[in-house]
Amino acid sequence: MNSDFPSLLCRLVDAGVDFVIVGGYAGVVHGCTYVTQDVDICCDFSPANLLVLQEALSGLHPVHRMTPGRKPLELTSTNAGEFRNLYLDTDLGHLDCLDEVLGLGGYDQVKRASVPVEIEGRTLRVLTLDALITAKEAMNRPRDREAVRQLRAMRQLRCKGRPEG
Amino acid sequence: MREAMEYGIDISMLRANLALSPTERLRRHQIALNTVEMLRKAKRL
Repeated sequence: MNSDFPSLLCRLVDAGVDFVIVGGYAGVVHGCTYVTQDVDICCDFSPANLLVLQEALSGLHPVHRMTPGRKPLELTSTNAGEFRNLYLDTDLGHLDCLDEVLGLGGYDQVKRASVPVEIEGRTLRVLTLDALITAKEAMNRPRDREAVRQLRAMRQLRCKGRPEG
Repeated sequence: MREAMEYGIDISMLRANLALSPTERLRRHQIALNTVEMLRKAKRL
């Protein structure tokens, strides 16, 4: 099955998962032209929110893609508190769930550095352009530096497009 | 901006994306990603 990130994100919103789009896909939301093969979200890692996340992914065969044997996602109220990150593969594509973002901090800080955007008729939260640049600069891998060049150019284009006064 | 252009970033494509709604940007990205996935799965003849 082909990936379908918009549908994957809509599922999370419809289920009530508390999350913010971060990483390369946030750059795509802002207008970057590169192609990214996964969606990174920063989310509230409380057991309650993770169980809602699991419910949102039901039927999509979510598995831990970094574990030997690609174990199925099987969260319970007991083990849900043990995770700091979830690197999942689903029928709608790769979904990486993080409890913090380098350069920004934990979920509360990340949420404060986000803005609402309308996608497919739903309201989702995405990192601001400035916060995304900060996070990418903190990661500082070659692909992050590449993204920062586009993001800075995007920021300049937006500033130029703003009406004066 | 000059740095980005000298690096090879196509500013016209960024401008075009800025004119789109977030939904339209994600739909276009999805088409591009599906194409990449299709090419990856393609077999050499």
